[in-house]
Amino acid sequence: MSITIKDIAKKAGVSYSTVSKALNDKPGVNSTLKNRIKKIAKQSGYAPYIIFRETGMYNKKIKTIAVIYPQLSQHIMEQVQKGTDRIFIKTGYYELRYVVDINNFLNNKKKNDFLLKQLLTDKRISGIIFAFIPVPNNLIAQFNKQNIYSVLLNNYTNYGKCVTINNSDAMYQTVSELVKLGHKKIGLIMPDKKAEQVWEDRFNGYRKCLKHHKIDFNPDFIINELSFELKTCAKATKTLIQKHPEITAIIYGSDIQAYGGFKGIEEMKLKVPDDIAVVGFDDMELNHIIEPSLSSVEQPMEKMGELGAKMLIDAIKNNNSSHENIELEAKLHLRGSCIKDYEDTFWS
Amino acid sequence: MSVTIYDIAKELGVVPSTVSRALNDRSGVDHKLKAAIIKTAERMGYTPYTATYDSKHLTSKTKTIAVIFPRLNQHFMVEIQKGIDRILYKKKYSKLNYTIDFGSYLINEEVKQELIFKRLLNDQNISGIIFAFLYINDVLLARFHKNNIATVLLNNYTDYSKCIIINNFNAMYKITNMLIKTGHKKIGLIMPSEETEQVWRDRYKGYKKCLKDHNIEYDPNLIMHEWTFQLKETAYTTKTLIKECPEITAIIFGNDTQAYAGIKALHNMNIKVPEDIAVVGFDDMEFNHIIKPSLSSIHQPIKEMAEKGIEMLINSIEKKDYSHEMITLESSIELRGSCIKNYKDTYWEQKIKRQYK
Repeated sequence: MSITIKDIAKKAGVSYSTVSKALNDKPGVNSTLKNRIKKIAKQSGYAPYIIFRETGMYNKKIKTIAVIYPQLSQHIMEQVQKGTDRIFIKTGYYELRYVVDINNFLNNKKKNDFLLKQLLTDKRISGIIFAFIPVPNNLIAQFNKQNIYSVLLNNYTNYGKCVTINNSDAMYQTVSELVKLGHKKIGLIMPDKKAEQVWEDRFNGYRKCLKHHKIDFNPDFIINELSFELKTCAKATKTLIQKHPEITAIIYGSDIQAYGGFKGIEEMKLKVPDDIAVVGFDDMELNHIIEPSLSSVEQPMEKMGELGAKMLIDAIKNNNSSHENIELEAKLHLRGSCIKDYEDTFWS
Repeated sequence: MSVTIYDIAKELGVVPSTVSRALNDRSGVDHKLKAAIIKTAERMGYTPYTATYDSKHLTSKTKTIAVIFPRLNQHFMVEIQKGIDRILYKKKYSKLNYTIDFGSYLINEEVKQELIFKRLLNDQNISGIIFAFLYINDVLLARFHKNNIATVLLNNYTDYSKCIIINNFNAMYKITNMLIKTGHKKIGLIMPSEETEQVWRDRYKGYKKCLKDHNIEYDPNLIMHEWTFQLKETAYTTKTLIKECPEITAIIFGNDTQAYAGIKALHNMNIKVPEDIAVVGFDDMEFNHIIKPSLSSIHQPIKEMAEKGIEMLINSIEKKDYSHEMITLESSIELRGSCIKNYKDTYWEQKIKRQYK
């Protein structure tokens, strides 16, 4: 049980209001008594709610939410935050922000990341939002067991709550646009469809669209690449093109993978978009920097942040860790990596 | 009796190794089966090994360290966290993260510092604090020490506490020197103004000193202040600078993101990099190898700084020694295609061992 000022008052043999005054440095308590009260408070492990008062979020039930973001995407962080802030400030939750290296996070599965252990043992945290980071199901189960609820943004879990885009539809739309542009041999470089629901849905969208357009599905056009490292994605791209030079378009699992892909295509002495059209996912801001500008699928990040925060707070309030998934619509932006002589309006 | 993976395997009719794979999230298990295994494990009350491990790792004697960041460059945040986590894990300390948001201009500097102080002082059990890229006044530091809380400042100087700084003066001096040696005389600067933070002050000093040593006159027209790290804004600033001083042959930016926008703006004006204008950024991010031409940058020893800082802090906590101590770290310069014509980026030459089916 947590210690209240009443307990401290009892120990010190003074009234509650004196304890309150002493701990908050208000006038009306003499300094020796103040020190004594502070000492007792410290010894008994009293944690005042200063963090919340300072931000105008005073609330007896301290609830802290950790939000975890991937590296390399300031843009995602800013957008998601706009949404989460709106809810957190209204409801009086306090936010701890972490940024993790996505490759480190994915590859260190054997030993769970130190960060996660910390989150697991930090008693103040009552909820976690994983923004644009895939998280293993068993980890979420562990968090649930400790009454820490999680919401995943842009990734699925069978085990907690998540806000995603309709990945199948997004992929369907992308492939369909590429087919309209005349592409028939469309390559796919993304993590294995068995690894996560996201990838399975995208894979299904891909197949469905090909079927709709009566194009034969060729499993050799797909390379499974789990890593988001530039170098490995460059190599995956090279391998795919070497084996199947007839491919005229490649869709990647994320923009970062597509950046690596650009390099791979360049090393094969091919040109984007003349020889190969490229589409990424996530729509990061750097897409406007790279040449040609990268086509990508944009997720409504602000909306995701807002809905995710709402869901999480509901889950905490109702002690409800059941599975729930909200799907939002995504938007495809075709740019210079698909359309020749495209002029990027971002800069004008 | 506790539930083991054998029990779960029996229940579902799979082999124990599949259960193990699923629970430890290793590859080779279909995600639907994985979910089923996890659900069963949960229902049967299986406690994974990691949970027990955690409770052993973080005992009641565990000391806690707070790490305070302003809302800064993500690249830095990750590097700092990586460095800190590695050492903390070894030393069995735990960590709290705070992000101080400087987006709100409603409160003044003094109030802000006071708030930081109160927040930390009243959080139980904090025995040390790392202020990363954040200036804290000396009075406040003394108050922390009085309360037996050790402090280390990363990237800020103080006489009253331990601190680690990167020599920004030298970094800027070196890069300016290199540009001058390759024939550049009109070197433009686009970065936040010198009033904002020590980092920028040092960089301006390094720039001016280097020009002076080479008998080049300092021209304030070559400098544009750009405090946002936003693409569009920086592109606009770059355009303005070029229009006002077309004689510029090199530009140094405040960070890599600014330089990306700069290169884009130059390309849009049909100016060639590096032939017409050489470009240098700061921080050395991975995307530098993707952009064309590959971006020259200053590689800052951020991880090293975090590791050294945390070691200093732990020493300071254990010995209760709060005296002044300073470590200066040097950055290295990576000259690439944005300064050297026909440069071949060795980053891509490293072999990758990976086979695709």
